[in-house]
Amino acid sequence: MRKAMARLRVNSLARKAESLIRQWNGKFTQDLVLQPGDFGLGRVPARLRPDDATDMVCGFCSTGCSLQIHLKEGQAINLSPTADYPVNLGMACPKGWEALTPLRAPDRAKTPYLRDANGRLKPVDWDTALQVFTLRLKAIQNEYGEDAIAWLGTGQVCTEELALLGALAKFGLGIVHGDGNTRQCMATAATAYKESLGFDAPPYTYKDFEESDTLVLIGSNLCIAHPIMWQRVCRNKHHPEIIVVDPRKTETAMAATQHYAIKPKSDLALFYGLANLLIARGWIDREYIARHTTGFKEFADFVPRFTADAVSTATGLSVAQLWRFAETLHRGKRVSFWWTMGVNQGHEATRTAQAIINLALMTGNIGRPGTGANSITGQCNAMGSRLFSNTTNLLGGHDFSNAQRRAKIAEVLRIDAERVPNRNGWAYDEIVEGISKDKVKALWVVATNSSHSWINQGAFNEITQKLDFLVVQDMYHTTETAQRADLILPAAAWGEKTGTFINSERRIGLVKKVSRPPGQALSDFNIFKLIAQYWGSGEMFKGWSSPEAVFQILKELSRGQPCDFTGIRDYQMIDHARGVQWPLPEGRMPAAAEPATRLSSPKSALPGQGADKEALPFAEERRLFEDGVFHYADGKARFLFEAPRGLPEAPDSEYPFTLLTGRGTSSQWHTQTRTGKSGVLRKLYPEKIYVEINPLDAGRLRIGANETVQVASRRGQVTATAFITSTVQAGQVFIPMHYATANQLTFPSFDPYSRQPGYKACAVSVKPARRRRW
Amino acid sequence: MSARIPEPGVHRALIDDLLYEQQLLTPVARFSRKHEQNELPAQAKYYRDLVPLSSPRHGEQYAFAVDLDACTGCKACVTACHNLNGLDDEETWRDVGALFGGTLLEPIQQSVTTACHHCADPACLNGCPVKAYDKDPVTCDISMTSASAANIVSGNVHTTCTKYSKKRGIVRKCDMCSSRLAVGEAPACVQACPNEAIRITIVDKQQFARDWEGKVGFLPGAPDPDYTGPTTQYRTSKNLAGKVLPGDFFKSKPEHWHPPLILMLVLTQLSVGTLGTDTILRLLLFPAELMRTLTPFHSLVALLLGFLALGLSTLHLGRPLYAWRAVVGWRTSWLSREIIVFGLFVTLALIHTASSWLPGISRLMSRAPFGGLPSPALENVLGIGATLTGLAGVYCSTMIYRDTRRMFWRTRMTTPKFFGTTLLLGPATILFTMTAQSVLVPDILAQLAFHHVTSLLCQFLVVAMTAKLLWELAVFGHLSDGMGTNMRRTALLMSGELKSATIARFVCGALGGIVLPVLALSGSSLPAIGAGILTLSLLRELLERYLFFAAVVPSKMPGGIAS
Repeated sequence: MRKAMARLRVNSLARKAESLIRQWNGKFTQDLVLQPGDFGLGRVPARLRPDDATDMVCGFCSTGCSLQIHLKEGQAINLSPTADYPVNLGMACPKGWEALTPLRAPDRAKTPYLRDANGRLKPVDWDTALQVFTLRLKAIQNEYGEDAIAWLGTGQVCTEELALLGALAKFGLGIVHGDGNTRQCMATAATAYKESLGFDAPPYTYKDFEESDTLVLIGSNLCIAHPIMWQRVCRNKHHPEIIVVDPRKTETAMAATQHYAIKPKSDLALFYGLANLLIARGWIDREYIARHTTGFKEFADFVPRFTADAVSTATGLSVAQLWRFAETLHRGKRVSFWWTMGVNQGHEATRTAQAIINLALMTGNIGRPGTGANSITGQCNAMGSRLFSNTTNLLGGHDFSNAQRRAKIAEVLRIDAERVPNRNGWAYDEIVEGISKDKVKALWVVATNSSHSWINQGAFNEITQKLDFLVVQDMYHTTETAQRADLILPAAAWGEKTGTFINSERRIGLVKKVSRPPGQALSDFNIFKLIAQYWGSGEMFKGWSSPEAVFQILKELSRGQPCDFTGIRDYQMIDHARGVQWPLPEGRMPAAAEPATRLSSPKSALPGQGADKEALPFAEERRLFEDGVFHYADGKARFLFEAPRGLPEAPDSEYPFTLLTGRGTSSQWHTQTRTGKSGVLRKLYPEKIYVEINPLDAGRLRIGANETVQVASRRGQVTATAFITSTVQAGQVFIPMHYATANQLTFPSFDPYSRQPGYKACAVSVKPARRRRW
Repeated sequence: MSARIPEPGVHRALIDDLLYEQQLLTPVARFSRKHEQNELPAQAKYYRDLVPLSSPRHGEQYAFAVDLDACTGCKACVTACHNLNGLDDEETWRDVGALFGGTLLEPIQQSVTTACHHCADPACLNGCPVKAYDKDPVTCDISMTSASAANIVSGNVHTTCTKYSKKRGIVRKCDMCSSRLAVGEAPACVQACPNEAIRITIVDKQQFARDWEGKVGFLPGAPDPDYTGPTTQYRTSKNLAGKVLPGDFFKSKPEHWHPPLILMLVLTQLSVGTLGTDTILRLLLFPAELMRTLTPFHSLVALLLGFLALGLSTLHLGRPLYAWRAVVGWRTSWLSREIIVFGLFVTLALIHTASSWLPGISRLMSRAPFGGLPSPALENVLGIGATLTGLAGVYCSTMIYRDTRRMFWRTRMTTPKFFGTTLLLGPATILFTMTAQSVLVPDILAQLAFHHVTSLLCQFLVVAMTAKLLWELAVFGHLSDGMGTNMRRTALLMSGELKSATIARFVCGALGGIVLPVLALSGSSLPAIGAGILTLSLLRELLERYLFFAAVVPSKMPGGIAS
């Protein structure tokens, strides 16, 4: 007995000694303890346990995922994707997961900055900043006339803010020319839809990804650019054929069942060729064409010149491949076409998008589940910008040149109709040209980074030096553009303000204030209100008191339009319904195509949530044109087409490569002003600029793996690391657009209809930067 | 157009109002939904089929199964792990790399998500000197104690699996969210994959270890699995074997060079070499009288540098104050063994030094337990004992690096290096202390034996250094290897980015190990040459060790495009 006691004592001593050496519950272990998070969350880090939670839409891309923000005392401390949101079904891409990190960056603009006599940017107070803004702009306007001021907006801020900016600039400040960075990403889709369907109306809902039996992805690296849309493709239970049209073997091309690696910008010929094969075989829906379209006969007369042989030559595909493509389209019962920047950023982009729309129309693949000619948008609120930026369209998708429309808008806004311009302002490239011709003397850049992103960047940065006054309104004072500004206005960011975004599938989602902006930063909305006041237009915008009040104005502006969303009561309804797609006209709830079911399992039908469901009198996911009626007076869609033109800058002996640009990784966003601020995201993409080059070319030029090379075009030269891979074809090289120097190379060509720049192809040369000894 | 310009400050009230309003947060109660206490996580419906229904039984464990066909490289898993585990700002426990290859007509790119592989026989656990890791016998996960851990964990095969937290000075890593699995929740990465590419399975541990034996089927571009038995299962319908290389395969960036480790290795080897050389000289060759003058200095130098080496080595630890814990892993960890053996070595060296300096101690010890050994014999015994212990320590050092299974650190690369340093720096140090003494005590120059010793040492240095240099040059033979060998990458690094260090190393070696000793043999002034030989030899060995760390190619999981 005593022995046993002694042994016990020894054992417990040994345990004590061991715990000294191997602490299982020390402070470092405590750092990692997880606890139930409540609010429908699973376990969360104990020190980040929320005391409340709320959902809001992400502020990066147009997918429009909902993020559940974990709050402590009203302030965001962490986030996870919202489990029950019809867009992202509980998932998010790395940018979404890291959305709060860029808010805490040390280089946030905390006060206005003004360039002093020595050329240095110095902090000033808001009063000074706004005095200077008003005095300088008025002086320039008085001296040079109404063309002398222009603004460049964005698809990154809330619809309410875009509308206020557009209305303030055009109706209050008397600025004629304004455009946005949306010109760089979706102007083509907007123009193509408007011309073909009568209104800028992307017809799909994300459920179509799940319901297709054939998906055609054109110039779209969905896996990387829109990973959460790819998630929806993964949810497709129909074992779909996935066709990818892309010069590169992208991540998406790897995941596809068919990949057509066409020559750069031979897509227009390809689609006319496919139309020709489909018509020749009678693989078309004659009844649909007859009832719902016009212009098919002319189109059918036009395409026979695109013989299989001719198209094979143009695209680099074999005749057999073309037939296989056409046959796959024919076999599909629910064929959906999806395009992104590979189409939109081309020199004949509008016609290319319309060639895709033509294929959908002639095969009757529109207005049914799993079909459609579907443009996937870029920025989180590009769709809001398309309707309400008051640039290309008059507020609410109206026409500036139509007196009736101007009167309608003036009435809703209670302003003098004379204040509404009767002409369109200049597009982005025309504004830049205006600067170079000394017509535009002051530029106001809001939430975009033109000095990095505009095509042929070197020329842009040279031209903008001619400006008398450059104002940059941004959340960081360090962007390439802000560093060139005369005046910087510090903006609150996503998560620090209220408003709505409209996503790719027309879903209006809510943004909330869950974080406090640093220092004196103000929401763009508040900045515009201050400017109105200082300019002397305060009275005109009295009704624009808050984003919620403006939302009610926007509803009125949309009344009677295809985008009519007067049926959305208020922000609470948007939140409650988990986002609402337009249209939702007041009193005319669209018939639910499918029962208004949650995507969630019965398990989540908890008290409270059950009641939520019954309250939705419309389908959560809706598509357009189910009745085959398009937005022209005759209700018919148009076949639009035009002969393809060659590359604006074809490779030659001096510049023998075609440079392709595009998204690098899913953790990079545009010019990286935000994604570059997250240590985690930075780990997930290559730090420095690199160029993908085919092994054949690398061998020929004696370029070794990871060797430094010079990539030069007629416009500039960049140093990059060579990454040798056959995912890019011989004769082509690829550089991700996110790196600061990439756009020194690009060639400024523009689609004549959409004025969208063609970032996707220009001629470059590649040379080793230095010789290696081995 | 109104030309009215506001007076300064007229709108200050509005500015103040807006600045105040801007700091108000949305009262989310207006929007919030009801959530029941203790309800299942809303996310559960998406991952229900991705985690096993049952818990592992005896002999089984949880494992990651990755569907490479579904993984498209979005990297949500990395960020989800980061957020849901509350990691530090730049800390990630999961990585996504990529494999590239295929042919011109059928190019391949394949993203690879990877974290701790929860190995059946984890090398991190076995190699950890402080037993910071523990493998849960029931669940699987290799979790960590709060103990300090070394900056470079010995046997850290996958290198992508354990993550050093600089802020805390410890290593942290994926524990497969064991506390989530314990309550039926999926690990963060499983919850977050939009494509359902990661799931949790239950595997038989023994079966797993056996399955990997001698196989490389784990994942192309990854280290051989037969060493640690990684339990992650990569599944793909594509035939990747032999067709792909990691995206960062040709990354030509030197690895971290661990200055404290360089100093520790070179100085311990110098210390052992000095003591050993002294002992050999005394035992075999030369009159006791001369050695009695020299030995105290030699042993003091050896002792001091030995202490310095061990002291410096703790700087390499995240938490140097806990260095004492590093002996507890002796059963499995070569690092523990190295520490214990070198600890013994400096203790013996201390006694040896003490006895050579203080005859009293020597006399005291001659009584017991050595039973009346005369003090010179006792010194010999101590010298031999310390030398053998020191050599055992050097052997332990080689084993630490061998265990990482990096090509450049293989036994055949590391053993000649470490013992070579011992053989070279010992005589060089002795030569230096002897010549230094000759300045202080010119009398010894009169002894013929003195000159015998110095010329013998010089001859030895020339031979040994020539051999080591030639052998080290052999690495450049790998430049003509096929594209894909790690040794070629090492050789490329040494002749590229690390060219200056490589050249300096050979120059120092040739000067200090060959030219100067030859000059000394031809009768030039010894003291200056002695100092020159030691300085250059030491520099050379430090450079050699710098290259040892900087030019190694880690065997690791595939990384992404490196620029």
